[in-house]
Order: sequence, then structure tokens, then C-alpha cells
Amino acid sequence: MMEVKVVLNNGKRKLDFDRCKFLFEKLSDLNSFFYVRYDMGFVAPLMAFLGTIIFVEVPGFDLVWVVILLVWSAGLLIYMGRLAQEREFLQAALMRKYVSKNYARRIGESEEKKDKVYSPFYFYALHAFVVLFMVCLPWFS
Amino acid sequence: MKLFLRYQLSGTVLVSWWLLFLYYADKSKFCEIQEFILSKNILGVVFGALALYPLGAFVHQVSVLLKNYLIGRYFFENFNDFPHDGSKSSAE
Repeated sequence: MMEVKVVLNNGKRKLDFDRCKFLFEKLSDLNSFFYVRYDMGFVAPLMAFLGTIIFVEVPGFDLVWVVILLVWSAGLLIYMGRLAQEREFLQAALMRKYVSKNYARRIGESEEKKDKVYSPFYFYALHAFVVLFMVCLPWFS
Repeated sequence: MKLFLRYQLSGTVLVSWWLLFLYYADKSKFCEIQEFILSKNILGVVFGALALYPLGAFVHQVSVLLKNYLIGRYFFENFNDFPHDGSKSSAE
């Protein structure tokens, strides 16, 4: 009887450890995704735009550039909202606000639902459209 | 290694963005930059790539500051690494 108890306790501890490890890894992945996208998609173009305006003598930027930057940042904000939702769910799971036996299935279900609402395809399509527009600008003018 | 690559990539992307903006602002200056880059040998290119590392670190620090003190405070509280409420965990 004692042996059975020990085995059960060990199994429970191992399950909790795996669960926390899985959640922490997901959270760190989300953080690195956020940093990479935010560095390259928002901070770098903003700094480059300000640098070209301040340090280089420019003939003049059109309003098109401001519109492009605004659309770009709006797309990033949508993506960041999606990331924030995922972070909220994972942190709640870590703090054991939603305790359930089948936590992995629950996380998978929530991801599927979020993907249906905020699909990353729209994010990539928006960025591809903006890049294509920027590349085709000299032919328009 | 992961951080090193991330900083390097951020610096490269910043410089490429800057070149893109410069190209659309004044094409003659872009031609000058192109000639300057093409006139360098391979060692110059390697040292230039190494010089992108601190630039990328700077970009990353700026983004961390913006994340914690602008986005984490006003838009999404989840992104803040220093929450005031103790019950909200900042799991990294």
C-alpha cells in the first residue's frame, strides 16, 4: 500500500513539473516572437525613418510614408493583442486559476479558437501587401 | 548565441530599413552608398557585420523600454515585466 502511494505522489509531482516546464517554454517562445517582430517591424523602421529625416538632407517625404507606417504599426498592434491573449491564458494556467486534468487539450483548443479569430495569415498578407506597395512605388511615380 | 544572432539580425534589419528609406528619399545618395560598399574588401564586410551587433543591442534595448513603459502600461498589461499588483505574475 505504501509503494502505491509513493508511486502516485511521484507521478503527480512529475506531471506538475512537466506542466510548468511546458507553460514556461511557451511563454518564453511568445516573448522571443514578440521581441523579434517588434524590433524588426516597428522599432527599426521608426528609427530609420527618424534618422533619415534628422541626419540626412531629404528632398521631402510624401504623406504615403506616414500612411504606410501607420498601417504597419496597426498590423503589429493586432498581432500584439493576439500575443497578449495567449500570454494571459498561459499565466492564468501557471497561477492555477483554471485547474483541470486535461490542461494540454484545453490549451490546444484555445489555440485553435484564437487562430480562427486572429489568423496570422492576415498579418503576413498585410505586410506582404505593404512591401509590394513600397517596391512598386517608383513605377507609380 | 541566440541573443547574439538576434542582435545581429536586428542591426542588419535596421540598416536595411535605413537604406530603403534613403533609396526612396534620394536615389543618388543610394548609388554612392552602393559604390562605397562594393569598393570594400571582404574584411571590411566582416567588420561591418560585427559592428551591427551593438546597433542591434541598442534597438533591442529601445524595444524593451517601449514594451515595459508604453505598451505594458497603457495597452496590454500582460507585457509589463514589473507589475505593481503582486497577484499578476510576470513569468518569463
